[in-house]
Formats: sequence, structure tokens, C-alpha cells
Amino acid sequence: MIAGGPIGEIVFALGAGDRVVGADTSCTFPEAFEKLPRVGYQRKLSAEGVLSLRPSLLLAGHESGPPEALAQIEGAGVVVARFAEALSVAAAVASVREVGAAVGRAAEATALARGMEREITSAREEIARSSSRARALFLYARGPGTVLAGGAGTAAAAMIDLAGAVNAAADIEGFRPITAESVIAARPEVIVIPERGLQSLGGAPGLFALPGIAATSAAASRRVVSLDDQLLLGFGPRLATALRALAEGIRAASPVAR
Amino acid sequence: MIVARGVWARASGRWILRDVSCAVAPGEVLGVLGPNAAGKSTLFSLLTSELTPDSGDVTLNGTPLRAHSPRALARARGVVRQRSDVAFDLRVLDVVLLGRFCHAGRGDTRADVDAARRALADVDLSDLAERSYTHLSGGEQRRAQIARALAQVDADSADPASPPHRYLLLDEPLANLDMCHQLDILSLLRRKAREGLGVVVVLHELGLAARACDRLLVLHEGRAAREGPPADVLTPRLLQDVFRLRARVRRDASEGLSIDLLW
Amino acid sequence: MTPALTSRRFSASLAGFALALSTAAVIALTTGALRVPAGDVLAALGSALRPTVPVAVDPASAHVVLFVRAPRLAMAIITGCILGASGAGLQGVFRNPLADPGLLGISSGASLGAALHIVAGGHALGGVGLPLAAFAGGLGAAALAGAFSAGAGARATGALVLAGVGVNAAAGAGVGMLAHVATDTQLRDLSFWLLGSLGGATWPRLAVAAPVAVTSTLALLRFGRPLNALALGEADAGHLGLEVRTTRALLLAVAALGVSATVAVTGPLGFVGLVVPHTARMLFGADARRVLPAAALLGALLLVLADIAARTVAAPAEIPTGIVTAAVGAPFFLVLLRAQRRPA
Repeated sequence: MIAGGPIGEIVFALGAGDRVVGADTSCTFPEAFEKLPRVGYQRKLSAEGVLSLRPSLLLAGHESGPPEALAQIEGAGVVVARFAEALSVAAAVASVREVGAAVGRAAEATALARGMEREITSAREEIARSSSRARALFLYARGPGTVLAGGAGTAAAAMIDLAGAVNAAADIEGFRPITAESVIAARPEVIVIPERGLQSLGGAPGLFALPGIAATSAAASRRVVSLDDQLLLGFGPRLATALRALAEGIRAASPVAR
Repeated sequence: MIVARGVWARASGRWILRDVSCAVAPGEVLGVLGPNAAGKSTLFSLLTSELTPDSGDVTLNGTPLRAHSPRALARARGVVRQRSDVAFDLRVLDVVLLGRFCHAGRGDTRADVDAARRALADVDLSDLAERSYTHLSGGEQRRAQIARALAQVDADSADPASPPHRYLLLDEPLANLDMCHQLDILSLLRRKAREGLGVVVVLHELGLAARACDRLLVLHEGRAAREGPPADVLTPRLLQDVFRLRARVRRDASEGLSIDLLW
Repeated sequence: MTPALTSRRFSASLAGFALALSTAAVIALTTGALRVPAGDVLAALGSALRPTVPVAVDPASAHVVLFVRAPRLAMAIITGCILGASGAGLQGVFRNPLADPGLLGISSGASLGAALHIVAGGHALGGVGLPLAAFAGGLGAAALAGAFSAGAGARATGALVLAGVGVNAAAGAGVGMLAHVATDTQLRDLSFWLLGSLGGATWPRLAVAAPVAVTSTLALLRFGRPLNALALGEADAGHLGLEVRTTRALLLAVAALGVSATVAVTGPLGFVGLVVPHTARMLFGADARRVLPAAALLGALLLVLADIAARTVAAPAEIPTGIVTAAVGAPFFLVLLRAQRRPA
């Protein structure tokens, strides 16, 4: 049983996907999750719903909850393995090892972790050679009325930093709603936005029409990088891929053609 | 006795009552008359302690009204206000039984139900006891409220805690009633007074008041214009001065006072 | 309408509802996402009563019955009772069939307390931190509404309605403000809380909420006759010998206390406090001595059934109980309004 998208990704990467009996709605990658029973959103798990699938182990990402439900699940004899949020390369690699230990695939986890480290190192070397140090603004959007900026301490900030860019919203903490004026004040040269968020705004035209955004140099040059939500923010096994794609996107500075 | 001594009352800066005194003793009916805005309802509110006088005082059985607890007051007097609407769909009998709320049985005992049934019979509503109050006509609702007040001061079921002297206060109880029931209610009030209740009734109908009341108090522009037996109060002169009516007043040995209006 | 229901028939109807509630309780204990045979449910309940005797029930099933379903059932019953009874009480005090516990600002105050707790980090005091914050918010809002309407004398009831509107608006603004500054995950937590759910019912929380809610419900049941007197209006009730102000203040305090205690655990559960007393009145007439116990029983029945639906309709996920009560309650209420406007 899995609650938390990145954890699910690791489980499948370790080849333990066939032992998963159910997952929460945040598990979207790989596609094998489509066929599994869903127990609702990870922050609002139903204890009995989880238990009805008869799991022996619940892998709970840092957002899983509510605590009462987790306690009830644990009380029913299910092992609940909790994982902290990974916001760095080291933590991402450690998560892989921890999940591996929890599901009894330590050897596979070690191999996967080594591979990740290798790839990430080479990705970062490439990035270091060609870094643009562009000012990138991360936006989390659920429709034009709900646009949050990714400030310091977020996965978004960490990714922008690793990709060799500068977080334009570094002076705010966490994900916060952002006003038109503060968008302009942040002087972003490029917008980074998860794919689902971009869709909720009606694609790049909708994004660049938002108040404030419209007046930035990012909008003038129509620079936006859009990646799959979990790839971009998950700090999972595909971290190196994500870094390359993000850095490439920022560097390419080309209008997105989707 | 209910006694008001030199009461003054003010509303939004204007004096509504100026130095009015009156009293009602057990066994008598006091009628309060006066043209519109004479202060009748304000005096009524002072007697029922809905208002407190700015000056002067009101006593019941020798004690100031505010010194009585609500329950003790309720046992000593029943009040029928001009308007009473019932928010929920109670049965007529249940409304009348609420008159027994202040008594030991709280409305639950056989004696309470008997008192309520007697009161309903008094106002000619026995047939409608099980009906819903909100579906009654305006006149029937008025009579139900009178029954409720009667049940409250019912003599036969009074518990030992009730005071010996009890009163009934009614503000324009005849409004909305047909002539037949107007006469019924007035004769009922007279009968209750003979049985020992003190009755204060605010009225508009001069002729009916003259016949039904032992004494009359006529208010005019916030003052007591005259007080006394109907024959002394309702003179052509007073009718002219206070009510601006030209009238001939006849005294008849058998029927009492009758007033003929001159057009 | 059947206002003239004899006491025997009323007692029989109440017994009928109690029976329906017991049946619903059995269904609540035996159904759910996890299939637990009725025999195992019984065995699990038996093992709770005699912990020393070992039973051969799958531990997960036993745990679900004893620590998931049972506390939810208990919470549904006490919450339904207090919401139904306080709805009936408040409608009586305000002489308005549209009054409900939300009118005093209890729900919105509790929401503000919950929002503050969630946005402030939300882990203080472990599992009872959030309910305590919500409880304080609900009670605080009701007290504020009471304080603002105090001194209005004879017009206190009208003033209280207006003060409640004001407190509701202020608390709503506060929740909106907090939602605006909340992070994405806090916002989700908050919006789930605002939907109302019995999913948060645990024995420790029940141990805090139940004594308050049950005591309040029992206290409310004693207000039948004063509420009947108040049906005649405050002036007439006073002439009947009722201490109007004391009675009103007492009833409001008791209702605020009981509702705050349960809202704190469940979040706002819409329409129960409004629709249930209405239904009780339609079934048993307007006599508050009947409406109060009937509303308590019906409220419990409605919530138990609603929670069964909430737990099973989308299994293994679940929908917030508040959505079910509002989804059932709102159309029912509209139909009721229509029926009332038709002349009798």
C-alpha cells in the first residue's frame, strides 16, 4: 500500500510493483498505478478503506494523513513506514535506500541509488558548464484564481537551484499566493510550471495573460518550462532526467510549443 | 389590590403618562377608556410590568411589582395582551395549559387540565380544544388567549402558594370579536369579578364599558381625565371634551347607562 | 400535520425510532470497506468487554470494528443528538423555524479556530490540538455574539441574531484570510475540515467531547415547557411566569457548549440542526416537550445513516460526512419549505 507519488515511483523502480495492493490518488507514475485500487487523497486517508485492501505494509510519504487514520491503521497490525520529504540529492538517494529497506529490496535499492548518484553527478557537471543563471519563477497553479509562487524551502526552489538557475521568489517562504506586483518585482526571465498547473491556466497563452506575468521579461520572450508534476517536484529516481530537462528548458529559452 | 400611584412614563422624550393613579380591588371591573394615543396601552404596560414608570410606583397586593418573582406575579395575575402570536403550531388546549405553567403541576396534572377545560368552556371554545391554534380565526385566538389567562388565575385549582387576591388584565380583548362574543366576554369578566377576581380592561366601546365596568378611568393626553362609577364619568360634557362626540346619555333603572350618539 | 398525538402513540413512535437507530447502529458496525462477518463483529465487541478471554478474530478486523467503526458510530450518535436537540432549542428561543446552531456563529467560530491551528503548523497537543482549537473558537464566537447582544433588553433575541450574523461574517473573513496565506497542503487540510467528517472520531477525542455533548443534550431535553411558553412570545412567556432572560441565556449556553464540543471533532455538519427539528415537528406536532427528544433521536439516526453512506459509497476511499448530510438535507429542506407555504 502506497501513499505518496514519489514513494510509489521508487517501489516500481525497485521492481516491487507487483506487490502493491493499492495507492492514493497522488500516485501517477508509472502507468501501472492506473489499474490499482485507489484509497482517496493521501492527506485524507480512510483507515478502514486502507485496511479493506489487507496490506501488510503502508509506505507513507511525508504528506500522508491524517495522523489519526495512520494510528488506526498501525493499530490494526499494519506496519506503517513513514518517509520524510526529500529536498536534496542526498535525501532523494536516501529515500531510495529507505524504501528499499522497507520493502526488502535493499540490494536493488543500493544499485538504483548508485546509478542515480552517478547520473545526477554527470547531469550537474553538464549544468555547471552551461549554466545560464537565469532568474526562474516557479508557479503552482490551480486555475487563474489560485496561483502560488514557490519560495525558499520548497522542492521547486531546490530544483531551480540544482538546475543552475536563480529562484526569483527566494525572498518568500514556502508556497504563497503571489500578487501581480510582486511577480513584476521578482523580475523572472523564465517561468517554471508543472504541466497540470499550466493546463489549468489554459496553456502558455493563459499563463502569459495573467496580471503581472504579462509585464515580465519572461512573458516578453515567452519563456516557460513545463514538466510533469511528479518528475519536476518528486525528487524520485528520475531526478537526473528532471534536472537535465529543467536546465535544458531554462537554457533553451524557447517558447513552449504545446 | 393593584395600585398605580402617580405614575409618569416617557417614550422618546415625550411624556406619554403624567401623574396617573388608579386602583383595582378584587371583585370589581375597572375599565380604562380614552381616545387614541391617550396613554391606555402605556398604562397597561406599567400595570403588567412590561414597562417601569419613570416616576411613581405600581404595587400588587401591597408589594411593588418588581419585588415579585415572575412566577409569583404569574400566579397573582393573568395578562391578555393586544397581540399574541404563537410561533409554532400548538394545540389550543396546549396554549391554554401554558397558563398553568406557574403552578405546582406545571400544566401536567389532572387539576391543570380541568382548569384549562373550564376556561375553554368559559370562552365557548371547548369544541376547538384539539385544533391547532394557528388555524383559528383572529377572534377565536383572542378567546383562546383569554382562556389561557383564566386558567392561570383559576380559583378552583389554585395551589396553596397562590395569593388569595388574583387579577385579570386585558388590553382591548374585544377587538376582532363579533357582537355576540363581545357581550359573552364582558359578561364572563363580570362573573369572574363576582367570583373574586380583580379585572382591569382597556376598552374602546363606550357603551359596553358603561354597562360592564364597576368603575371607569378615562385617559386624555396622558392624564387621568376622570375616574369613578360609569354614571359619574360618562357625562355628555366629558364625551365632548375627551372623545369629541356629541351624545345623549340616558340612565335606565334596569339596563343602566346607555349612550346615544348624535350625528 | 398531526398536532394531536396522544402520549401513548408518541412513546410508541419514539420507541420505533430508537429501534431504527439500533438497527442503523448494527449496520454501521457490520458494514464498511473491510468485509467483517457479523460473527467476527460480535466476537470483537465481546473481546472488548472481556479483554482477558482470547478470541479467534483476525486482529485487523477486530481493530477496525473496535477502533474505527465503534468510535465513529458513537460520535455520530452524540453529534446527531446534540445537533438535533440544540436546533430544536434554538428554533424555539428565536421563535424561528429557520434558526440553527450556525446562527450563533458556533460553526464559523470553530472553523476559525481549526484554520488557525492548521495554518499555525497544526501539531500542537497531538491529536486533540485541532479539536481544542475548534472548540475554543466555537465557544468564543457564541460568547462574542452573546456579549454583543447583551443589554439589548427585550430585543435581545433579535440583537443576538444580528450579532450572530456579524460574528459569522467576521469569522468567515478570518478563515478566508488564513486560507489565503495558507500553503497548498494547509489549504487542503482546511478545506477537508470545513467539509465536515466523522472520520476524525477516536476514543481519546470522544472521551473529551462526549461528556460535554451528552450532558448538554440531556440538559436541553429539560427545556420543553419553557420553550412552549416562549412560543407565545417573550412578553407573554414572562406573564406566564417564565424567567425569560435566564432561560434564554441558559439554553444558548448549553447549546453552544454541546455543539462546540462535537463540531470541534467533526467539523461543520450542515443541515442536521435545521432539518431534523423541522421533521420532528412535522411528525409529532409543535409541542417542544416532544420535539426535543424526537429531534435528538432523529439527528442521531440521520448522522449514523449518513456516515454509513460516506464510508461505503466511494470505498476504499470515503467522502466527507458533511457532504452527505448537506446533499440529503438541502433538497429535503427545500421540499419542506414548499410544503409549508402551501395553505393547510
